[in-house]
Amino acid sequence: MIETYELGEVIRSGRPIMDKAIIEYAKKNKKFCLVSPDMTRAAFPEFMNTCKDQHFNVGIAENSAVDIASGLALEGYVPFIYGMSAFLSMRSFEAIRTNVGYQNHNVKFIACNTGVSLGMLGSTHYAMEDLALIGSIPNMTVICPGDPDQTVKAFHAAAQMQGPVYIRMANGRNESAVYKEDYKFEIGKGITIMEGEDCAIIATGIMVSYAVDAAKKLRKEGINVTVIDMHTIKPLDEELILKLANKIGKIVTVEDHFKSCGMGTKICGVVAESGIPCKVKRMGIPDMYPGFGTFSDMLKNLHYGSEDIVANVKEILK
Amino acid sequence: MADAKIVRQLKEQAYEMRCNIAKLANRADIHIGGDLSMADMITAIYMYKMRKEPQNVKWEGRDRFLLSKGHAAACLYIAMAMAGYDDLEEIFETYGKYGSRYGAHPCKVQNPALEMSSGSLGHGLPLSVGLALAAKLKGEKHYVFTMMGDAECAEGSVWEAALAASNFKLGNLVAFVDRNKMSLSAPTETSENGMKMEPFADKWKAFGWNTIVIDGHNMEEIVDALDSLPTEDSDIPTVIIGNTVKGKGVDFIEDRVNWHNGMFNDEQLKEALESIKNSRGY
Repeated sequence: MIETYELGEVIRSGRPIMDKAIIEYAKKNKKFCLVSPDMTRAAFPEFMNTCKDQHFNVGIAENSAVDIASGLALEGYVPFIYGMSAFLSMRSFEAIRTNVGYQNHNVKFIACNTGVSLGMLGSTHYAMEDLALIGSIPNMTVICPGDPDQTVKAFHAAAQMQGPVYIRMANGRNESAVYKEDYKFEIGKGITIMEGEDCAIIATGIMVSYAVDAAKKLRKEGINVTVIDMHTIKPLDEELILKLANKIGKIVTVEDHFKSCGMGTKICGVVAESGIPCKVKRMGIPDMYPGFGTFSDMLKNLHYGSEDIVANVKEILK
Repeated sequence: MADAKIVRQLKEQAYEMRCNIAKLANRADIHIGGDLSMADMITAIYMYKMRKEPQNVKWEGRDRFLLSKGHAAACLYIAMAMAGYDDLEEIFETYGKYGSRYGAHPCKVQNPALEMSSGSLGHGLPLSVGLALAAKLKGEKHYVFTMMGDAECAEGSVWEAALAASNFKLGNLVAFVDRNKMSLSAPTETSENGMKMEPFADKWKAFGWNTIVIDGHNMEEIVDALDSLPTEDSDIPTVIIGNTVKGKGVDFIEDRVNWHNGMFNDEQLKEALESIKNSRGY
């Protein structure tokens, strides 16, 4: 059990938090550099102004941003690419697959505006398929931090490891902090935030705060659920999933990503292959292109917010 | 002016390279059109210009070479074998076979002597921008060479990289374009099915590049172009556009769109070797 905030109690913005962390890291690690398809100012303005020799704006050119970073990595630099996930993961996909994954180049990605967390801007700017795409690449590690501050932990873990890493931030602005106390973050190991025997909710990214909120609501009704922050999508913590399948036998997954091809689907695969009898209910973006609205409007209309998680847990318990 | 003795030696090596390419085409289906069109420039790059240590492929002072037009892998492998990296017989014996280091596209995973895996077009130049930028940041004095196909320049990433190379003042970057004026489907300029590239040199000039246009089969001109390169610490990237002929040296496949790739039977090999000998230019 880890102490957590109430949903909306503490609002944090991943971008300025990361801006500060990146500056600190860049000053100590001269091989670090940031390559961006013209997105730096939107997230890391301080870094841009203070670490000029470690910053490369390649213009609105996601494809060659990946290739240029790949070249820098080949020569021993540790390039991070910051960009909007919809364009970074899709327009550059083949470059990522061929010049990062295939050749195992030490390029890291920080992708923002994932899922429908951006609201308003519409489906051109929603990255609803990046976990499926980037998660399909051998050698790649995929991390989807559970709250804004966890992004910093993910950043340091990514910087320290050799090999490509994709860090999936949410919007990076005004999101709920989850963790009230410090905790251990390890790539590939899901974090058990709450424990309960009735059902397990496995959430990733921005949905962790909603999963915790749902669990608290359920607890008031006498339903005790386990909540997992599954921050690493690749490699997936199969050991933990199988433990939950065995012990609890009922899992609800929730993610801000297409339900058809994200974390939930991967979890289904792990459970199905194990032969352990376990019910799984997946929650996420349905098979359609959503329109516009605030993130809370989206969750309400696409049915994967707190109330929907509560309803799905009750459903699976029937 | 290019040293006549050096030019003569390079011509002999280009001749030997073409013969090896033809012999390999007798064993496997290779992209022979584009192999033969870039053969003279590759010869001069590998045998004359590049600083390299074939026994120490990761030597930091080496000039980097990236084959952006990865389908011409056969020519690259043969150049590397002739330059002392590899064993020519191994290429002949294993090319394209399971477990070989020599696939139809260069694979760094199988063959660590290569700087990059290629085959997907339009990546060599932007990747080279990364390498050249890194060299500049580190204060290292070496060139980054990349060989592109002309039709490959329809890829938008080429022009993204062209913009970036000027922007980052990468005088250590040298791009070659094998301007054989023929894509897989059609001649680039004269066919209604071609993607026209002209005015090609003007495009590079407009992107701020030091633009050199040569006859890509004239060894004197190639050597002169390489001798005229700005120093590695200069500010302007260079493109050497070599006007070439697809399938150069083998008369029955020259400039033929259906010889983008192919294989020679024994009779064709004999004819090809004869044609290469007759057109070797010394």
